[in-house]
Amino acid sequence: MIKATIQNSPYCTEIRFPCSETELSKKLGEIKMNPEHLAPMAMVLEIKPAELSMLTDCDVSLNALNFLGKRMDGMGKEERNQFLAALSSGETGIGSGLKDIINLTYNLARFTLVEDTDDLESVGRTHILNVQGYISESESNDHEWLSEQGVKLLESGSGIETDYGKIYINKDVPFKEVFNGTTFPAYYCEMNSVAEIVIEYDNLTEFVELPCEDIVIKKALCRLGADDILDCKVEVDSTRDISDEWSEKISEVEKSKDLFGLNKLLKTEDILLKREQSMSIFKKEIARRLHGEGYAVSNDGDWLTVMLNGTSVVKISDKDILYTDGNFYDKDKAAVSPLSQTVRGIYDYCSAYEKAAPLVADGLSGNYRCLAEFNGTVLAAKYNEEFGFEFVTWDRTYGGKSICQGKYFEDYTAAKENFATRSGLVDKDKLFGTEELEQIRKCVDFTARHNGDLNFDDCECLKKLNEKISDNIPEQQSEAPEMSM
Amino acid sequence: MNIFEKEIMQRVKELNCGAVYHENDNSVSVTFDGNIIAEIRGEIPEKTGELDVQESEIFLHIRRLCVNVANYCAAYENGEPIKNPNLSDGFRRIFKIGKAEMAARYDRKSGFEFVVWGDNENPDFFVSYDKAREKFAALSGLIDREKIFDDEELQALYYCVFVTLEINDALNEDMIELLREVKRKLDIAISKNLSAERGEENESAV
Repeated sequence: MIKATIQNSPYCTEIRFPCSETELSKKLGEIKMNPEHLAPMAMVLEIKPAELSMLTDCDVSLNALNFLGKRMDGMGKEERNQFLAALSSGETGIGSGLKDIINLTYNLARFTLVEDTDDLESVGRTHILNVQGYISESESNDHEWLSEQGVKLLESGSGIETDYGKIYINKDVPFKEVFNGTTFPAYYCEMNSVAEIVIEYDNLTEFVELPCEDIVIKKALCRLGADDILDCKVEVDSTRDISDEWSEKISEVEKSKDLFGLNKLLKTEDILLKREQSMSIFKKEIARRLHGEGYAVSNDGDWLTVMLNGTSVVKISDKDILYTDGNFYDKDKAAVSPLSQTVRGIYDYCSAYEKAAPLVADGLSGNYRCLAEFNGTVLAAKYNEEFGFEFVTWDRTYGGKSICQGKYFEDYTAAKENFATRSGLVDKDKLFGTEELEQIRKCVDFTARHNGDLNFDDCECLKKLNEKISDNIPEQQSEAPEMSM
Repeated sequence: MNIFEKEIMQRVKELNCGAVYHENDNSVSVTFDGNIIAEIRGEIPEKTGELDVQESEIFLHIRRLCVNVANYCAAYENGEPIKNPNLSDGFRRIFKIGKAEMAARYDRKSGFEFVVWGDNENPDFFVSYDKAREKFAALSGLIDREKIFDDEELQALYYCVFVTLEINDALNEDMIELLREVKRKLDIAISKNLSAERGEENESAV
């Protein structure tokens, strides 16, 4: 993400890229520019990440900055470091304009970033992957060859120190100009787009994803220098998840060139497309768990509907939001809180799982994903539609390539706690089990009742401690009768 | 002298020990009351001979300290530089889960500084690695923060268990045994917290 303070003297505002056209229009309004300007320019007063500071005090195209923001958002962690490292060094010869920076995003293969020079095989692997864009199985298994490639790169002596590690320029990989400074290259990143359209005019090309805000099409035409869409060649580049009937309807735009009409249709009739969305892991897991706990659950497209006590209806969205509609009765209010807690807990581990990378370890079978790794301890999860989640903590073996001593859990909280103690994040001597807490709570209670030396503040402190401990004890135990202490 | 050696020489002062670095074999001699009680080579401490009870106890602390220092030195050395507008330069990321992050910065004069922050939470700075990890574990949701007791709370709990064991005649053998075990655990937790505190104080003094 890019965060910039832009100025249309004397007005300035802060803006984050990428942003929607609506957001950009709003910001243009704040600095007293025409909100519908098709090619807005503004001066950059401040910009983050700091590696983009060469744009400070320059008038830049806000559309181009937004495009750069989208490109950066699409980068993985390693690519982003590679990009920022190449930008931060003055010796890479990239140039300092926004056009050059956007072009850098398409030319990362020219720059290999080495963060750790000790592991030669890893250096070789990173370098080959970067230059070739892939690594064959035989190359991947040839550890000696990979190490040789690593040594070759390191011994080339061309490494440039940066905050992110050493960056090496691969002179055999040419720096290609993909962005000509006017029209944007293809970059499809809208999650909800249905069709990707290519517009050509006067040997220039622009790409738009539909449905979109109309101003996106107007801006594309403006960059092409076309007065009217009718003067352009329009082609459907690709479509997604739609029926043949709709595919045909969309293809008609190639003849009619009524891009604005098609856009309007796709915006308003989106429901008719019936995009086949598979149920998310979160919803499947919610349904599985709640069924197991005796709730009646049904899936009605965007929402999961849960019936409480056979009367009230609670709906759950894909982002763990619970909401109630007209079919809700006050008597069922108390049942919402435990349901909400369960849903929150499920959302935590489903979202962690969906964002996690596959766990890589020699000899590991099953599709585990690595939720966290610290100090040689791994917290991983595996998902199965029928049985739900399995969580496990492992130790990495010496050298870190394999794993051992697996401890398996069905409960995410228990797995996290085990990971926290096993990795040394929390000292296990400082955590108490339910039975221990129960005994401690009784001691606190006994001391408060029988020690006459305590003053008011001491008693208040013990009362609070008692409450804190009770919060940690499952309800059944915390309500157990007192022993004769 | 590498970061570990430099740091361990500083940290053994918390145990009222002195340290001497030997350039010829990159080892660190740790002294207590003028006697050399341990030699540290490559992050591993070894006894230098027969030690009395007090020295043996200090040696155990040295061993624990070496593991701890080696851990955070390695984490720092492998960490990637981070850019955060709320932090000064030089911090490297040690660990991140979701929106919770822990980072460390090393300075040859003042040693290590750790920082922990999460979504919508201001950064918390620590000199003690133990305290930083604990805060991170709570902030990241690995451990319910209600399950972590601070120094004052641990001491109050210890007092309550102690009082109960002393004056409650109604306890049976099993309960006495269980409470003694809880008391022992609380004692360890308090002493570990105290040694982390000592680290914070010593570093502040430096």
